[in-house]
Amino acid sequence: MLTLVAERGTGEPISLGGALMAGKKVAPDATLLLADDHRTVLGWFDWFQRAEDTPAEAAIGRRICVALLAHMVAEEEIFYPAAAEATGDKALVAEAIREHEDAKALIADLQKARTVGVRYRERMRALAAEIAHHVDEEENRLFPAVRDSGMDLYHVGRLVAARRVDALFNMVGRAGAARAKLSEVAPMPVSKDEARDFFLLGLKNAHAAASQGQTMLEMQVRRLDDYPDVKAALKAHVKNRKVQLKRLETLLDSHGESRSALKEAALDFAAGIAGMANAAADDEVLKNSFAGVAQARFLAAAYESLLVLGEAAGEVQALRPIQQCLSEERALATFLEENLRGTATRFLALRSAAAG
Amino acid sequence: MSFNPLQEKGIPLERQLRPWSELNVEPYRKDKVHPYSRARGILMNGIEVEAVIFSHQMARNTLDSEVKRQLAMIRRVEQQQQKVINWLIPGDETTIEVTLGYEQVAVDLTAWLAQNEPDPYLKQVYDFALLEDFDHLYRYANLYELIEGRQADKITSDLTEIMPGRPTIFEHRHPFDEIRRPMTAVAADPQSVLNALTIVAGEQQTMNFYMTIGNRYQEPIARATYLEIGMIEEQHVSHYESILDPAASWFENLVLHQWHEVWMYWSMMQDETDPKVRAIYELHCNMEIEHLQVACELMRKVEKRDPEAILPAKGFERALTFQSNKAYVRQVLESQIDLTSQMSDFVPVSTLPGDDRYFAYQAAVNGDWVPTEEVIRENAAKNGQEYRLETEGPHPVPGLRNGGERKGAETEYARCSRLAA
Repeated sequence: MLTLVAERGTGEPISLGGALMAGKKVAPDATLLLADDHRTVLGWFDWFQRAEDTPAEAAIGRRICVALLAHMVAEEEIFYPAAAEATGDKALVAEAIREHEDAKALIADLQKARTVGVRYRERMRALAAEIAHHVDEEENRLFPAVRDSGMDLYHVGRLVAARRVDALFNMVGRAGAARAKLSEVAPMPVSKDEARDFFLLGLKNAHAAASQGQTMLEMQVRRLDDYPDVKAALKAHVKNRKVQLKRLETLLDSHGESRSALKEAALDFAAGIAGMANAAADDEVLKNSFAGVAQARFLAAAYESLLVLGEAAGEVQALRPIQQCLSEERALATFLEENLRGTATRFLALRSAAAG
Repeated sequence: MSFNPLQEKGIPLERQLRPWSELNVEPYRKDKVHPYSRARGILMNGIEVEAVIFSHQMARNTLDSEVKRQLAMIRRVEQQQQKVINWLIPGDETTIEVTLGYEQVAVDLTAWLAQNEPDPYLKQVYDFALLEDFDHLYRYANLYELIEGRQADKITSDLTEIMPGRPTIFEHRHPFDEIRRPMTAVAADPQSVLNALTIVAGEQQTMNFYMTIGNRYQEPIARATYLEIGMIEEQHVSHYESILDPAASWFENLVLHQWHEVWMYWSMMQDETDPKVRAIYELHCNMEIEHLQVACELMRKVEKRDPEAILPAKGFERALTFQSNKAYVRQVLESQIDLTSQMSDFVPVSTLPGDDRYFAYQAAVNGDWVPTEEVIRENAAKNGQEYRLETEGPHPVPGLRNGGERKGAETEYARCSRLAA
């Protein structure tokens, strides 16, 4: 069993998480990233000591609490489980989590305080001592054990950095309130074997949907001569879809899945997609635009859930190609949505000209 | 003559730092230096500046502090290399004289790249901008005679002809028409990748140079000429950087940059005649071999990818060389002088409709006063005639011949602009 978190901030392609997952940023070594965090927050405790007045103390205090919470979320959800699995030493991680609980109680107290006074400063000193001890334990015992274990420090570093920035965003970001619900999903224990079965099924389904959608796209491209921008985007996307199919086939092949299984899945699953296409209706261009958006969003949803299933199944090498597929479908959906008004206007203008 | 840097041993990084006394090299003598020796130094300075700027950008996109430290270490050495190379230029060489060197580099470097470019689209990309840099050399040569009273062949010798190319006044195009189609680094011929990295670095440094030193003259015509040509360098950087592979990861780019630097120093070593400068190139080549290997190691460690997968197994087969390209330049002048660009394609200017955005952009920037035209008029008025160095006969394009030799001929550019106005 491993613990899985539904929302890790790795889905949004424009986010740091997405960029990290797709290999577009240089990933950090997880232990170095966490150690950098330690240095930063220890420095802030000193800063708190030197603060000139109570408003400054309050501001630094808030900063320390938020940074520590984000750091702890990323450690507990990603780094510790990975470390326990890699080192086989569950006791070491259990100790670290217990220390987090003590720190969190102090932080909760600090965050509740209305003013900065003697009591607040006492709590802050206690927190500083608690963290200094915890840092010492981690950096001198846990991190060396993790480095020796052969764990992929950069892969875990990617996930930790993404989760940490997501947690910070939820606490202090502009959209914090709106996104709070998603993050309230508590960590849940899941089975790796179950995850693997659903992951493979999900791959087959995504393949069926993508190949069905491909046929539809090719048909649309032929009929879009009056809408050159949309035509060009769809034409480019036909190529993307070909690569997507290849990526999915490579993943399936590596699990020894036969190609005939793909055909069954296609028949079983993709009727819904096929029904969206409109061949020769009067307003086929409009209807096909809706279908194009729906299809891209449908595939994006499929890829997004595959990211979660794949991670739970331990299929780390699959995450990067799937993230790439997700980014491509999101981009197409956004493009088509942004062009819907233009397409509708052009459609009306062409029809009016033909009628007049 | 093959050379594979992955199989060579470089100088260990920690032994690459040099004291001030060694960095502060003795500059060349401006009346003795071979024009192509000056050219090699100018180009290698541009290569090192790109190395430093790229490394800073990568550092800003790197979350791992250890990788940042490695980048900073290599970058410190690259900064030292840049100082050594650029400090070869003597203080008594004036800004316009250095500028003439930059434009001679642009002409003979671009001509070599065009003739050694396997991909026909990319060759067209080089030919297109070659004619524009060729024209800049002519404009600056006239500025030189006008302001400093000397003739440009004192600097460039007779290796490169000096006469109009695609006139600078017509080079100003809308930014949308400056973006070319990118290559895919893994699928491209390795020579195409090397060529593109070379020209982007060279043009970028020319842009940096003009944007910095263009205001160092008091004469209004000099300030204005640098300003106008400086804006073309912005176009050229956009033009050339858009052929690079935008999908390459940061590590792919880092490895490619270091691999390219080895090739550059190795190439420059082959032809350099000044023994002291040749020794610098050889030393730097050995440093770059180590930089490449460190970059490869980082890529393996962080991306779990094999850098050999993106580098050719064979190593380098030809060296970039500075040579006289008079016949080649004349042939491109003759066949491509009338080209302009539309989006990422190159088309004859006569195919543009009168309401094309090219003409609107021209009207917006040229107004009723164009410095690069003015500088020719002023120099001709002062010295009786404009400055040209036509060693191989009259200009191959009748519309660009001098005064009476023109016999009423006109370029398509001149005709179309007249009609559009």
